[in-house]
Amino acid sequence: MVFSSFSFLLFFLPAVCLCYFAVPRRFRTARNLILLLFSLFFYFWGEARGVLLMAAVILVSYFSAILIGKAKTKTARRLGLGLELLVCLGVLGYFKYAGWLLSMANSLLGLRLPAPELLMPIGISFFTFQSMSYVFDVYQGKVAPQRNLLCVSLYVSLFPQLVAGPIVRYGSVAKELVSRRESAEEIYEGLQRFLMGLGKKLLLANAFGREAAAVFGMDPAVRSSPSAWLGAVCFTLQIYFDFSAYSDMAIGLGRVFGFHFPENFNYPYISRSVTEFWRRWHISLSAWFRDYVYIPLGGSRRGLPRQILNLLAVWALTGLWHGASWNFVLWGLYYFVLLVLEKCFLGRLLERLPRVLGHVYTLLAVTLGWVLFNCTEPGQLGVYLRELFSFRGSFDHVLLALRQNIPEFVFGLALCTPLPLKLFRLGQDKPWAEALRCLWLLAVLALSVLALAGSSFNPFIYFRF
Amino acid sequence: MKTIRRGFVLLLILLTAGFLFVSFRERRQTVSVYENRTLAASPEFSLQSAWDGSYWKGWDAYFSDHAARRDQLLRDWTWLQLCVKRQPVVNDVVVTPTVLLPYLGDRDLSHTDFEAVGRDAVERLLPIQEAVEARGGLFLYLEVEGYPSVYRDEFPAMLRPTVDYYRQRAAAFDAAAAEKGLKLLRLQDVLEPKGGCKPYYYKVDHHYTLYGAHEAYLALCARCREEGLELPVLEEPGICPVEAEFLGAYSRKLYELSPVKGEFYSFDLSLVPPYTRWDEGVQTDAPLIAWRPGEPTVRYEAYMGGDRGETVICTERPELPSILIVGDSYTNPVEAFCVCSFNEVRSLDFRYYSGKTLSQYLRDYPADVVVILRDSVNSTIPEGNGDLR
Repeated sequence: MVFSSFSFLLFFLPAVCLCYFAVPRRFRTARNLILLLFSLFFYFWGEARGVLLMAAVILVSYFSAILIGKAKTKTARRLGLGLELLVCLGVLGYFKYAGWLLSMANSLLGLRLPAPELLMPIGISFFTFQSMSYVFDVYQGKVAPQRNLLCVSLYVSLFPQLVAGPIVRYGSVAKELVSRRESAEEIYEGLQRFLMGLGKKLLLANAFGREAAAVFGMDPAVRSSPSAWLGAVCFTLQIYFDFSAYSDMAIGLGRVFGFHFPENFNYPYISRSVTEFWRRWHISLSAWFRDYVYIPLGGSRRGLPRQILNLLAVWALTGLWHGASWNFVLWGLYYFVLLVLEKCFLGRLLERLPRVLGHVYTLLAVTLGWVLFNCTEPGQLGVYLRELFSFRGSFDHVLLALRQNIPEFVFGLALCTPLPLKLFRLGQDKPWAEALRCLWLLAVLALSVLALAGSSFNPFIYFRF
Repeated sequence: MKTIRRGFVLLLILLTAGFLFVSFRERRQTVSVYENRTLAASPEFSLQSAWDGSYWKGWDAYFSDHAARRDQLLRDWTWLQLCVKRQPVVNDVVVTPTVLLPYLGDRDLSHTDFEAVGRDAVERLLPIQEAVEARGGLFLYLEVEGYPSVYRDEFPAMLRPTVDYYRQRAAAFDAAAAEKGLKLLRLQDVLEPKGGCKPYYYKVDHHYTLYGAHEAYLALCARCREEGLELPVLEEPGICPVEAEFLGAYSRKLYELSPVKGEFYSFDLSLVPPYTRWDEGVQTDAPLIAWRPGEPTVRYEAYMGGDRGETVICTERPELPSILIVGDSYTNPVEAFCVCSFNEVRSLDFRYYSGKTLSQYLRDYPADVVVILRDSVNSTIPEGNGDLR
C-alpha cells in the first residue's frame, strides 16, 4: 500500500487512527498491538508473501539480541550476531541478488545454472537493515536487548517507515516503544508534515517523473542533447522529491502515533561538495554504513590507504544496496572516486574557490550520478552520456516541458533550498500565521487529492529497494 | 493557537469522513464516459488472489475509480491544467487554439527502415488481393489520411518529428504498393483538389467528418464503376449537423473544457433502403446512426453504433454487388453510405473479431468487392487490422 493512494488515505489511515485512539493511553500494550496488526496488514496488502519473511527476520532478531544479552562469553555473543547476519544477509542475498549473481556467473563462465526469478519483497532492504542495526547495537552494548517480542516486532514493522525508511535505530525509539506521549500538538505537527510530503509526492515528484520517464524512454535517435539534460535534471528532482516526500510522510505519521523518527534529508542539493551531499542525502543509510561497516573496518584510524579501502567497501555496498545491477555498483564506485578525490585535494580546493563553483560542481556531479543510477539497461548509459555531451539538437522538447511544468519547476527548485520552510515558519507563534499555514496546507491537500484522482502514474521509486 | 491547530485536525477528520460518506452514498458508475473505459469492479476474494496480492491491488484500483465525485475531481484537475497552468498538453491531448491533437511524444520510433516496413505491410496484403482477384472479385486498399498527419503543421515543433516518422512510413507503404501492384486508393488524392483534407476532418476527434466519409464512399463507388460494377450512388445524401453537443475523443478527454468545438453530422436516412442487420451474428434493429433527436450529446461512436467485430447488413437487392469492408472506426460512416449502394454490406474489425482469419472469411463469404480501409498512420502497423493473415 502506498501513502499516496485512496486506499491508504480514505480507509487505512482513518481506520488505524480510529482503533488506536479509541484505546485509552494507559493501555500502551493494546495500542502497540493495534499498531502492529495494522502494520502487518499494511505490509500484507502490498506484499502478502513477504509477511512471513518479515516475521522470520523479526523472530531471529529478537532471539539473537536475547542470546547476545545473556551470553557470558565473546564467542556466544558473536554467535548471536552471526546468526542475525546470516539470516538477514541470507534473506537479502537470496531475494535481491541471487538471480543477478547467477545470471552473471552464467554469462561470464558460460554456465547454465538456473537463475531463480524471485519477486523481491517490498522494503526488504529497509527492514533487514533495521533489524541488523538493532542486533549490532545490542552486540556493541549501545542498547539493552528488548525482551518484549511485541516491541521488537513493532520496531521492525511499524508501517510509516516499513517500506521506504528512514532506517530507524532501535536506540532512538526504544523508549517510545514502551512509553510515549501522543498529543493533539503532536498529531497536528505530524499531519502537517504528512500533508507536505503528500503534496511533494503528488504535485512535484510525479510531474518530474513523467518528464524524466519520457526522456529516458525516448528513442535515442530523436533525443537531443538539451532533452537529455532535461531528463537528467527532472530525474534529479524526481528522486529527491519522491524519496524525501516519503520520509516526510513517514516522519509525520510517526509523530501522529507519538514516535520521533530521525530526519533523512537536509536539503542535499544546496551542498558545496559531494562529501557534504552525502551528509545531507539519505542520512539514515549513510549513518548505517558509517556505523556498521566503515567504523568497524577501521574508518580513518589506520592510515590513508586503509581508509580508502574502507571507503571502497562502503561505496560498493551502498551501490549494491540500491539494486542488483551493475549500474548501481558503478554508481557507488563513482561516488567513491569523487569522495576520495575530495579527501585528497579537491575538498580543500573547493573551499578556496567561490561558493557558487562548489554548488555547480556538486549539482553537476550529482546529476550525472543520477544518470548512472537510472540507466539500468546495458548500453543505455553510454548512449545517454554521449547525448548529454554532444551539445547538439533542438531545444523544442525542453521548452515544451518547461511550459508544461512552470509551477512545478518554480516550486521544485525553491523547495530544494531551506527558504520556503523559513517562510512557512514566519510568525511562528502568531495565530494569524498559524491560520495561514493551515490554509496553505488545506490548499496542498485539495491539489493533492485532485492530482491523485487525475493521475495513475504513482509509483514510489524507493519501493524497489 | 491551540484552537486553530485543533480546529485544523478536526476539519481534516470531518473532510475525510465526508469524503468517505459521499463515496459510499454515490450511485456506482460502471463506465467512465469521459475516459471511455470501464471502471474497475470490486475484486473477487480467493485465497490465491489474496496471497498473490491481486485481490488487494484490485481494491486499490476500485477505490481509485470510485472515489467520491470522481468525475468532478477529474474535471477540476483538467481545468487547472488547461485554464490555470495553460499546459500545452493536457490528458494526452495537445491543446492548440484551433484544433485538439493527440500527444505522440511517447511513441516508439525505432523502426527506421521505412522501406522494409512499407514492403512488409504491402506483402501482408498481396495474398488477399490475389485471392480476391483470382475468383473475379475487386480488391481495394482505401487509405485515408491519418488525423495527426492532416494537422501536422498545428503540432508544436517538438512533436512534428513523430508525425513525420509516420508520414515516412506511410510514404514507404505507398511506394511499395505502387511497386508491387497493390490496388491503392488514397483519399488524400481525392481531397487535395477540393482544398485539402482539413475541411473534411474534425478538430476535436481523430476521424474524418461525415463529409470526409462521403468522399471516401464516392471514391470507392467510382472505382467500382470503373471496374464495371453497376451500383447506385448516393451523390446528395443531405448531410447536416445534429442539434447535440459533439463529444469528440479529444474534447471529451478535456471534459469539454476546451473552447475548440466540433459538430456531428447526420444524413437523410430516408434515402437508405430497407435492410436487416446482424451484429456479431445477432439480428438487431440498431440504426445506422445511433442518435435520436433530443439527446443532448453525441459521439463519433454513433455511426453504426460504434466499433463491432462483425456487422452484416442485407438489403434484399440481389442485382447489386456485395461488399466486405475491413478496418477500424474509420469504416463506420462509410458502411452507412454503402448500404445504399450494395446488396450486402459486411464489415470486420479484427481488433474485436476473432472468429476466422480473413482468408477463411473470404472463402465462406466471397464478396464482390473487398475493401481494406485504414488510415495512413496505421497502414504499416502489423497488429489488429494489420494482422489479416
